[in-house]
Amino acid sequence: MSERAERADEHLSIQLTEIIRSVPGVTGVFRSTSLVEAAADVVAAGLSLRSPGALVDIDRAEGFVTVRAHIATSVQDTTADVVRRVGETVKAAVEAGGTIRTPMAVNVAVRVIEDR
Amino acid sequence: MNSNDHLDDVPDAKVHGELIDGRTIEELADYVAAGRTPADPAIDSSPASRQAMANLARLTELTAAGLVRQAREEPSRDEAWISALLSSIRLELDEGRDIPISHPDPVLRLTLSESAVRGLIRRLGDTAGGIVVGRCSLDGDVSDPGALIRIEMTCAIRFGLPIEPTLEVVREHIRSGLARHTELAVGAIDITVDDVYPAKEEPR
Repeated sequence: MSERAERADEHLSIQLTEIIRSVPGVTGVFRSTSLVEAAADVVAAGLSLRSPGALVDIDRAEGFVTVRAHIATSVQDTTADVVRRVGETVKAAVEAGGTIRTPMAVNVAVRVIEDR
Repeated sequence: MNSNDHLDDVPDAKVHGELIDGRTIEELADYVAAGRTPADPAIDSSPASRQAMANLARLTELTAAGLVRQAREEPSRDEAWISALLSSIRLELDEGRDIPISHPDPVLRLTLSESAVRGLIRRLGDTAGGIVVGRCSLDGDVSDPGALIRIEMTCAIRFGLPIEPTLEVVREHIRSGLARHTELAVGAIDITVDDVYPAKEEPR
């Protein structure tokens, strides 16, 4: 992937991270890969380290893009509804951004349901 | 409390040995006790640590007074009880299987981690009134929508409470909570009472 495309994805990841944080019922966004895995990828691919604010993973492979987000939600909100809202919001934001024109999947995983 | 017979069967990805994403459960307990200040981004950005802290905070609220009293009366037994409970909490933090949430749009793949659901069940059990959840596991193909699953858990019950009626309330609380937050088809909820905790000095 070119450095320019890499920067565009990082920018999109930062935007999506902020958008997800603003969805009602979301209490946190996590890196979808561990720091160790991320560091290994960086070393392997000779990439620059991703910004700490870019927690949403954007993976391009063979003409297909997978957008992956891991979140925490509040037990005060119905978890299934929150994760659906996040998925729909991410998809809408990606489509509106126009930087991804290939087929894509949006994966959202709830990792923690918190008392907040 | 009973020994942790089958806890070693729980798969372990982010929870290596005694560490939860690099921290011991005692360090996380200290962080909770300090009001999570000063903020530690390494802890706050770890889902496993946040799940552990949610369980620890509630555990403290539920049992602190009772445990202090119990510790005075039976120090060695109390130590074993707390140790077993912390082990259960720690070993339940592995992300586990993906549990799907349906959506008509095929672009969206939405899931809950098994650890999030175990944490939810623990919360529902602890807040139902009269018990503290020990171990908790999901039995069945949770990744298959509609497949019937069984919940197996252990608990300590508050001294003096009638066991069956109390457990029926707990089962109903868990069943309605899971129906609200997940799409799991919950069959049996098997609860084994394996300890009793003091009725007095309950938290407010």
